[in-house]
Amino acid sequence: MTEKVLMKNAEAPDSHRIDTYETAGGYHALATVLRDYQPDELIKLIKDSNLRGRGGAGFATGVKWGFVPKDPALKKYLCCNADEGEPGTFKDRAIMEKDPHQMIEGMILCAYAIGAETAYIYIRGEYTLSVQRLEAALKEAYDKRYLGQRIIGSNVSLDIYVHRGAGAYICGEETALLESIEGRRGQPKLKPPFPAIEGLYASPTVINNVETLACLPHIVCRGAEWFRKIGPEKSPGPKLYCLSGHVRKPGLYELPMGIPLRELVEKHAGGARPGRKIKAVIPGGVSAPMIPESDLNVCMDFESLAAADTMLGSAGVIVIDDNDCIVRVATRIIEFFAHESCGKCTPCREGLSCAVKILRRLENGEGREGDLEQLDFLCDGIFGNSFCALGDGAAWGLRRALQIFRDEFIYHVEKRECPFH
Amino acid sequence: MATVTIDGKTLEVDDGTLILDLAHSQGIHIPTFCYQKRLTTLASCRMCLVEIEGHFSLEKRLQPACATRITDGMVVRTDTPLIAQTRRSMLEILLANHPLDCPVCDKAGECELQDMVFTYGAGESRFTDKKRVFRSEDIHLNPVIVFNAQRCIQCQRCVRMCEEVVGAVAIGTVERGMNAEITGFGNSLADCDHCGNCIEVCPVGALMSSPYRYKARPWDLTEVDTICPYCGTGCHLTIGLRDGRLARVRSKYETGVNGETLCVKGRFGLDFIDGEDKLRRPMVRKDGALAAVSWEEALSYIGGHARAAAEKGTVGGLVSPRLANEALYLFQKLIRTIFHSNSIDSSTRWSAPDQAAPGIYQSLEGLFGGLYARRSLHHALKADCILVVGSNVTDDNPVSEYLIRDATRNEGKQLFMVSSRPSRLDSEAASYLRLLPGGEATLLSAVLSAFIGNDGDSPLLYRELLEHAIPAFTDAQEVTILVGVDVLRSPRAPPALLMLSSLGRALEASGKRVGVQFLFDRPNQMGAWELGVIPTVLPGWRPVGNTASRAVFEDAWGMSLSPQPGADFHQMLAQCKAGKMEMLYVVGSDPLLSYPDGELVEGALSKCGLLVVQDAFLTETARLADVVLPTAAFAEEAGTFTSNEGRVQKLQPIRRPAFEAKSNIEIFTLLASSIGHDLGPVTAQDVFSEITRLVPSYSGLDGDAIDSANGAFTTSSETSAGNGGSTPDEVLISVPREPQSINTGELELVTGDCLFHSGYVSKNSAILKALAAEPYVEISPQEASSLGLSDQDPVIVKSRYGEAKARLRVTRRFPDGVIFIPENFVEMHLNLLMKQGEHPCRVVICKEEEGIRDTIAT
Amino acid sequence: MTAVSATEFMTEDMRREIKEIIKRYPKRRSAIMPSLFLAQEEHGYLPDEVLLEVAGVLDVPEIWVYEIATFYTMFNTEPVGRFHIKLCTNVSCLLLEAGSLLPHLEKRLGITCGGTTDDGLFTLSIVECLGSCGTAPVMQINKTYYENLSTQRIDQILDELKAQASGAHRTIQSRDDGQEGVPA
Ligand SMILES: Cc1cc2nc3c(=O)[nH]c(=O)nc-3n(C[C@H](O)[C@H](O)[C@H](O)COP(=O)(O)O)c2cc1C
Ligand code: SF4
Ligand code: FES
Repeated sequence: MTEKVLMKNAEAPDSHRIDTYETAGGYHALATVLRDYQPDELIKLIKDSNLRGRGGAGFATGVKWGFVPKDPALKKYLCCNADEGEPGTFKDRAIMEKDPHQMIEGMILCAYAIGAETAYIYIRGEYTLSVQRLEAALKEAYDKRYLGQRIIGSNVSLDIYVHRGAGAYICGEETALLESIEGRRGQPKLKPPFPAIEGLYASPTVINNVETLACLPHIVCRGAEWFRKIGPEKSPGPKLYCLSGHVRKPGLYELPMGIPLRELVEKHAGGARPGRKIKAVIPGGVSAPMIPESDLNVCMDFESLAAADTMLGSAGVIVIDDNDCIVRVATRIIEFFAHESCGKCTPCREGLSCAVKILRRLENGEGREGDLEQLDFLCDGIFGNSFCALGDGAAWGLRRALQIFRDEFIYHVEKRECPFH
Repeated sequence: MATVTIDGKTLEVDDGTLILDLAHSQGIHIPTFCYQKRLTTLASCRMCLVEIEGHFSLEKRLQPACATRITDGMVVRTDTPLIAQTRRSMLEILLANHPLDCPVCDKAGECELQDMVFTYGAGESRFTDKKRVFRSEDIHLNPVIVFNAQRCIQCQRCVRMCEEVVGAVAIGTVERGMNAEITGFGNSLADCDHCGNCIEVCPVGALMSSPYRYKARPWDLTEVDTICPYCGTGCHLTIGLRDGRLARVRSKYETGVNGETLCVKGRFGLDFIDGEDKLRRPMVRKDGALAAVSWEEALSYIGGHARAAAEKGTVGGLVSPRLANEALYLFQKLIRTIFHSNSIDSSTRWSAPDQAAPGIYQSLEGLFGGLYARRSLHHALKADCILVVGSNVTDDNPVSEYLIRDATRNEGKQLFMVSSRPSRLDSEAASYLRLLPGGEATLLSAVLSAFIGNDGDSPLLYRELLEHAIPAFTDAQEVTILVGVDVLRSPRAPPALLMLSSLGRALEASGKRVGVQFLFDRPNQMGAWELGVIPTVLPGWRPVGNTASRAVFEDAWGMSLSPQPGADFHQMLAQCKAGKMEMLYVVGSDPLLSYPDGELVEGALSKCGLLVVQDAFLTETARLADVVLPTAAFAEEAGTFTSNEGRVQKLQPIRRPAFEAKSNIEIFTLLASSIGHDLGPVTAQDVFSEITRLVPSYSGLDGDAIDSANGAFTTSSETSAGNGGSTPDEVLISVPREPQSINTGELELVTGDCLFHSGYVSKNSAILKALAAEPYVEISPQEASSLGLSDQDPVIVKSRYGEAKARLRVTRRFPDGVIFIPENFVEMHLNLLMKQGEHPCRVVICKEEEGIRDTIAT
Repeated sequence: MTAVSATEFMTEDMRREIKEIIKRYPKRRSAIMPSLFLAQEEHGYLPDEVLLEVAGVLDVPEIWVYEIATFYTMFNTEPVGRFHIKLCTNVSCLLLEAGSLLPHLEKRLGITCGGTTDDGLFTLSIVECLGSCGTAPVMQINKTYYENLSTQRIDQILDELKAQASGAHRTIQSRDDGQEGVPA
């Protein structure tokens, strides 16, 4: 597939305006759905498309919607997860800056399917341009009666509000996001109850990622079958990949799901920089464990990456070449998670800070015997025991780095120095 | 039902049982830090992780027992190597940053972390990097709470306790991750309740009590379990003594009505028992001044006067509802038998009823015969609907308030609040109403008529409450009504109580279960009433005028009793004034301060024949006395209290009375024998046995029954008159006037307890006095700005009779037209503003330097 | 019941705006974050007095506001300079030597990370990933993103900002609303 779907308007001047969007067929899906689909039918369409969430966990979108109780007396909410904080990831920002109406139309479709009349966009606070573009786009949509009371003459209503995050990665985790909208510290909540049953303000709530929502109008317009045929059947669709780090052409690439990582890195992103060799690649943002160069043939979809003991996550692909130090990268990643730990649970709060202290010493040439065993111990203590996936992700990544590049770590302990810095 | 297998044992349990509860019921111990039954589940400490077969996914190998509920067919294991390893890891990770300063930590010896490491831990942490240090010095969040951030394990029990149970929302968490720290706004808890419940639930030595700091090690303490002397909630508490002096007060998890909670008075206000200014020796007025004398001299002095007074039957007795049942009972027996008088009262703080005195007691008899719910408040709050009338529970009965909050928050009960002042429960309530004390009768009659479908025009003021309450009452199967002291203190208490009975009966008539309880701000008002500290009835609500009733006691006591109903305290004062009171015996009360008409009391007392005051402290009234008898303070004598719930609980003395003071019952006995009589049993235990024999509601409570930490309940007495409730129609007609409108510029003065004081006893607590040193005048922002006043302004409050000074406190959500002044500050002499029977009291208010602009229209 | 304070830091407009914000949510507590953004826009940072007032206008417990103001890193409880430089040092930027940009900035500004220049013009912080990894290294100054940084480019930006502050208003890409775009 060379055809662009999500980014098809991106190059157009004023791509963020409603006119551009409408001219390219925008809001057609909305009209179609309001005319031809019952909410259930829309849910079925999305189920049939096999669309899986683009926020990281890859949960089947239609199935998630299906959990929302049908009782019309219950108030329901939709939250768009635009908190994009996973290091290495910048795809949602591109959608919001370049073509925000895709996502807004997607939100209206989703709200219709689940019966929500209020929706919030939880967007990370740093994205000021995105906030502006979204707010302008919402206004345009209200003016054209795509939003508000009785959307384009139907008896469907929806209000969308922008809620700015304020610098907390954890608020990307869906329950922490809900807590944050409710005006609390962004700490994950117990599940069950799942948000679809008891979410925002204790009402049934669907949380979907920006890119997930942006796929919806296309599925409505072009059919579930079309979508399912792009990439692997079980995780199909167009996909935005964020390439960064040691490659010649970093940036955002729209390609089908399931493309081999090697093709992505070497063909599209131009491969390693002159004179360098790729050492490792993080395929899905720093929550995803890195894989060694030898595993680059893996395909970029949920199942294949899981089989390679990592994950697709947010598709933030970070390339590390042989000129950099894995211990340094691991240190920085664990520093990040320690800084972003909400502090709720013991293993994540305390464990990550212990790991940071040890890793910093290693990198500064102050390693001690037993340090690596302490790190192993911490990974075991945190992984599987932390309250939410933040701790798990951190420990998983560190554990894999320790396994794959143990030699580099051992070198730091034994020689008490970093070979690269 | 679900079938579950836990550690190999297969059982049938209710669907949805918490794994943790199941384990405990099977004697399996699962360690926890963040779990606390009463608080919302966090599942953050990860100590309680267990294995569930089939739930063994890649990321989550284990599940928290504190948050996971049983489903059918579940197989749970709590003792696998993986679990043991995980517990060790969690502890080791915690110890990586937790300081090991146990030798200087107050908590050592009763620290949950220490115990947990002992049982499940690895002994030490392998981590050798520097530990986190927030700050080198502990912070004093307020005068009673000190915080060591390093030791905190972030279980958030304190934060949840403060928000969910206490409702203060004062303590919270700032920063995040490893920097997360417990604190109050601006690192201060200066404005919090100071209840110390956060300290109580802290598993480690992070939150600590300042007064207890470095005072003792837990193993040096002698602990005595007793009941709090401050309010009628009747909290169980444990006094820790070091070398015979009070070191600290704690509450116990799942013990007593209060469980792990107390209020500031209970936790920090008991220091008065070691007070140095307690009365040491008896005193007799000589040449106009009180002079210390021996007990013999004091008693014979009284004896000399008393014999004559006893013959004429012109003796009156006023006793504090802070005394134990045994003392109260013996006091009324003394006055009735030795002094041949039925003039006995305990209710000093009430305005004189504007109807004939017996009215109020008749209404009470009716309530106690039937509607009164003698069972735990916890139980009473299981009703679908809860109506609180005339109480600022937050200030009067904090721990009862916690329970009401629990019920509305966790169990979704419908709460209706009617009070003169805003309370924290308002936000929890389905509807609330601001009402001046005295308006309750009219309101209750409106509720009743709306409930029985009399759709007359109810006043606009009530409409919102009625709109919510009537459907709720109609749907309810059970209704609980909690009646506060505001109702009882109003001259219109009798009609209010009558209306209450009528409403109760009407609800019962429509098939609902109804329970009424009072919210007394004194610890033993229940005991006082039931044990006959009432001029018109003998113990157990037996009318004095009734020959058969009297016969019971005449037989038992071997003396004849006067058939004449006695005087209540208002009437006693009138008798004093008229020169007809030969002797007034005041025990533990300070009417000069607390009776709502200070001038009247002062005048009356000066005309009384012999004024005997028996107290632990030199009260204002004692200063006027002819004889002062030093008696035991709280915790210096044995006995029992009967709580608001009708729960009889044992008091444990920690020592004998200080100096030359004697216990109340000993003094009564000595006094009787000084005029040649024998008062019968001499120990608290013997007196209590007599009570259980003669007072039906107490029968069966002797022996071991009340020995348990949770006491035992009185039962409904069948001998009570039980005619207090009239038929609805009758009452509707009898219900009087609307609250009157007031002149512009005037405000209604409402008085009552504040959180830190109840009555004047708490002023003897150095800690409470320091926490709430000054009186204040509370007012709404609108009212303040229309008077050109701002927060903290010194103001003068003036009534037609007197004036008082204090600082202004402007409070959000305070109602217009009203001011509140706490009545617990001696130097204010608040009752000089009031006139007997005029209630509430009209006042004007102005800045201190400006003097009074308007005078009260007369 | 909290006492009402006499001094007021908030303009009538802000109070009105906050009342509008409250309407977007079923619970007032939700309005804390947006209100703090407003207040910070107005005051540059969030001193205790402002937090108290926000609590007052929203009628929520003060500690709730304090918790929010300290949990989220974008709220400054201490004063910051007119230009708040936030340099990303997360992995993608680190790999492209953001590490060396930090000492450069510190040297140029004469402050250490976290500090503010004496003239009150610049505050320097490091931040986690700004979501601009494809154009790393990146920094954000106030609202604007500056991408593909090098030491030379940083010098140029600092000079521009100083000039802007002293009134001479030439312009590089420093519209305070935007960014230099996302590569697609
Ligand atoms: C620590 C953590 C951070 C996350 N951050 C994001 C994020 O920034 N954006 C996002 O869309 N999902 C994020 N997620 C995933 C969300 O929890 C959630 O699965 C997702 O928003 C669901 O939307 P989807 O089904 O459309 O993917 C995060 C999850 C975790 C555990
Ligand atoms: S201070 Fe104590 S109760 Fe509060 S979170 Fe820390 S350890 Fe838990
Ligand atoms: S007690 Fe279950 S996680 Fe803390």
